[in-house]
Amino acid sequence: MHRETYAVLLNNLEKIMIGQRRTIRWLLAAFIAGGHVLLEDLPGTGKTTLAKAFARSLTLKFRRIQFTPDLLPSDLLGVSIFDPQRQEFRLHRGPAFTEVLLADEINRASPRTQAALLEAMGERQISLDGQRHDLGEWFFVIATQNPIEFHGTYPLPEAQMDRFALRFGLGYPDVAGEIAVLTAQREQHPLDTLLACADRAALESLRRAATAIRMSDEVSRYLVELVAATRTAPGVAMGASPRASLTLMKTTRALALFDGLDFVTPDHVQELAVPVLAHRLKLDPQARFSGLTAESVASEVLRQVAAPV
Amino acid sequence: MTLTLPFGLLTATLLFWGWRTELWPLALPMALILELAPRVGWRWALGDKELARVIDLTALLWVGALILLFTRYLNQPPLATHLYTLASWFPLLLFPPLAIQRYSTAGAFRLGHLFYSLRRSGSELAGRPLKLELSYFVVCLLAASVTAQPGYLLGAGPLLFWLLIAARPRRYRWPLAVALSLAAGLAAWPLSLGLHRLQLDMEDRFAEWFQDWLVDFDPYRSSTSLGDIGELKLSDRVVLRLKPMPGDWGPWLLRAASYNSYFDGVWLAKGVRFTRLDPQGDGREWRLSNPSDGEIRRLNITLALRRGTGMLPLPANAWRLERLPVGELQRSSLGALKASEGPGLVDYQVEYQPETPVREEGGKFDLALSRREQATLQRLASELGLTGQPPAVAAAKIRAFLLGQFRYSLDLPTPAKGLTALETFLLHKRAGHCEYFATAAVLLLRAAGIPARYATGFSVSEYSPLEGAYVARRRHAHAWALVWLDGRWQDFDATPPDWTGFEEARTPWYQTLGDLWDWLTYQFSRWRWREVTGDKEDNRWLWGLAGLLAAILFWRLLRRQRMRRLPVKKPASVVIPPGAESPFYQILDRIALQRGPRPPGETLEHWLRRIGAWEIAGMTEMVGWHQRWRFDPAGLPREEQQQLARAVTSTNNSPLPYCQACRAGSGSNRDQSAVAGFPAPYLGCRKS
Repeated sequence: MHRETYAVLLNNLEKIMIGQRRTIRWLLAAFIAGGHVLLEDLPGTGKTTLAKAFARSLTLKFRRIQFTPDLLPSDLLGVSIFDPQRQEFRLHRGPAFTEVLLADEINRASPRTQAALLEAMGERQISLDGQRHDLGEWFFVIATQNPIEFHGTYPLPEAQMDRFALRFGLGYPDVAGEIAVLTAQREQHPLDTLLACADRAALESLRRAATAIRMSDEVSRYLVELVAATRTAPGVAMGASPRASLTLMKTTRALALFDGLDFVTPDHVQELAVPVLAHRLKLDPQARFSGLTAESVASEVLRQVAAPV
Repeated sequence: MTLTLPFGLLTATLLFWGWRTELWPLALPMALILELAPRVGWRWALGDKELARVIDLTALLWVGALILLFTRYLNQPPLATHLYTLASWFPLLLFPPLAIQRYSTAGAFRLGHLFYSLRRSGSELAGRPLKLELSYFVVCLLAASVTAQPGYLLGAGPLLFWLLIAARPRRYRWPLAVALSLAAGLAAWPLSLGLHRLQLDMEDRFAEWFQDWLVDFDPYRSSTSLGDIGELKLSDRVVLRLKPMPGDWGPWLLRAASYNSYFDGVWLAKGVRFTRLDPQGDGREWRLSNPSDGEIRRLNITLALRRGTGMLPLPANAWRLERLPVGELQRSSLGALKASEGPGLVDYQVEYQPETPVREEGGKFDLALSRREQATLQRLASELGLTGQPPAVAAAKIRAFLLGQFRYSLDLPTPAKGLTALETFLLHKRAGHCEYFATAAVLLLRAAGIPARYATGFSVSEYSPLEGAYVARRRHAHAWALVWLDGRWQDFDATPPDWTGFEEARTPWYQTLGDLWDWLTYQFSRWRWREVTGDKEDNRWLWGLAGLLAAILFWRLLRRQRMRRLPVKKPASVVIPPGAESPFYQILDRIALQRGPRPPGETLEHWLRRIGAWEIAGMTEMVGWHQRWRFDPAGLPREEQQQLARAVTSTNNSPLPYCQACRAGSGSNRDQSAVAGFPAPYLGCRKS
């Protein structure tokens, strides 16, 4: 039953994001695992479309914020304004009060604004004027950033990076896929006709089922060994945290659920190791200068640690 | 691959070693020490320095053992028995590092602890951990093998078998592993026989080289090199030391044995009888005859005796021996002295009277000519005009003939056709070494009707400033004739006197080093035998030293109070992962064999898809079953296990399809579906 839900969602989203099965799979895995996603890719590869289509398919509230250097925390979270007629302060909720939040070009905002998002992402709540506002269990942030342009940006601090469950790119579609995109948009944007295909009850049941996925000791050990290996890998100043292990466990469980299995295989761990681990690594300046990237280090770790067969 | 020994195997091997070598009083405590390690609650906190010191101590132990065995060897050759003893001690000598490893917090020695240079260099190698257990297991088996008792394989076989079965890859079922181990054992059987032959051969060669410095004369028989071809090679090892009285300058001919009968290159002592002599005075003095009024000279002679037995080289007309602590001294009827039940090294004083003859008997063999050379010798005798001459004149003529017309050579010539080696020497070659000259002299003297004998021993003339004594090297072993003139046996050396020069010319450049070594061994040997009271081995000093060192080490350990309590921890047991017996591994192995192994980091499904194996009928199900068996904590139900086994059997009979890239014929088979921006960890296929 869960597998069907997943298949329907996947097919629905693939109508919009042609040839992006893996991206959709990972996005859904992060969502089911209760994590947030950082999309790192060039402009025009469909990040916003993906987020919109995702929210619409799941019948979730969707808001989008374009991050700019002058964006203030109040622009994001909301502000209390005195209402002279009623003689009281009224809270004007910001765009963060939603379910699916697309934080576009998150690294363009000032660190203060970025940090304001931190609490929302970590605790699924916003504190304003000493009052806590619950964001609900479906609060899901899809942040994007441009990996090429660094001028006028504030790179995300490590603490915030660690809040994202996955970081991955979309990549360009292949030729056939790009032609299909053109064909699909000849008359109207398919997003306009996209129908919701999963209700909250289905999502809830998916999340519940994911927690029941089993993980053998052997796979757990492999997972932990992978994470631990990033801490001693050459060129790494700071490795992945135990939070990374937890996230990897939760997301791989979601993958197992999507595959119709009730247990996690090492394949799942291998599939998600790089997107889960890479953005949490802080490289030596020297290693970075010599051309190493966090992804290449994580891939190397994946190659070094023997997977159970 | 690192092989982990199953728990208890090492203990069993130690006990096996103790049983085989009858060293079980040592083996039992050693086994106990190893066995107790997981059960005691403390560990020594040893730093790198201490660990290195343990290795040093072990090295000292080795040196001590080598010294001990060397002294034993000097007393009791052959060498091989002592090498065997050393081999059987290996587990004992290597035990300290193993025990320390078990009882220290460090857990393992590193390569750097072994080599000081490595430690200093800070090379990466220094940090490489040493796996002592497996080596120790092999060493124990090796040590257990050096006894002659049968039944080695009955013990070693099961131990090895245990190791192999325990260390087998988990995916193999045990009947297969058992069958393979048995097959390996059977195949190893003929190999071990061949190795045994090789070992015997090597041993002989090594022992031959090592025993070079012990000379031995056989009182009954002396094989000469007459008739051998090539070049005579003699070593430069110093075998005898001689200290004369002041004013005595030599050279000396020290006779060890004499012979009376020649046949085809061999001198024999026929009709020889030995009579026992009785010691005088303090038991170390021996009288050979009564002195006369003539001048008495003394010589100090030092030489090594093999197993305390050997012929004593003596100057002619010796009448008294002193400081000779042998149990038995026998004199042959031909005048040779044989000592037995003595120490490994004797240093005796001999008194002789150069002018006064000592009575020795003659015999019927002293005039016999060998049949083969009889005609030639008699013709030569008549050509030289020896017949009818007085003995002294005939002897002088023979000496003149040999010294005048022959020259010394170490070449061993090929005998001419139809002639013996001696005839070739006499008639054609006219060059040879001392054995030729001595044999020719003896036989020519006999042909002239003068009784003569063949004597072997040493010609001593080289003075060694290093030793402060005259020395005889092995190449100074000499042969000469004894002739009966004026009613006594006289030395008759017809070898050209320049013969020692010939030999010296071939002295190698490293001779000084060799002499130094000889001198050191001699000094050590002297010290070893400094109190030759009995034959009992005195190793107390060695044990004392070892005990002292051990005490120092232990005290150092205690003084630092470096004992540390261990957190209670269960010994890590070997975990057999669930599903290790899945038959799907056969398919994976087969695919890996044909298409190359799965690149690390690539998922199973991706790999199978890339190389085209995913399309094999039933592959999806098989992978599913296999993964459930392996990774689902709930396991795979029995029926599905059987289904998997059936599917594997049917798949095993079908060929593998080609991989995608090969089929498409494209050179590039990079994975297109890999996410852009992330380097794909996947490699191309290895086309078989």
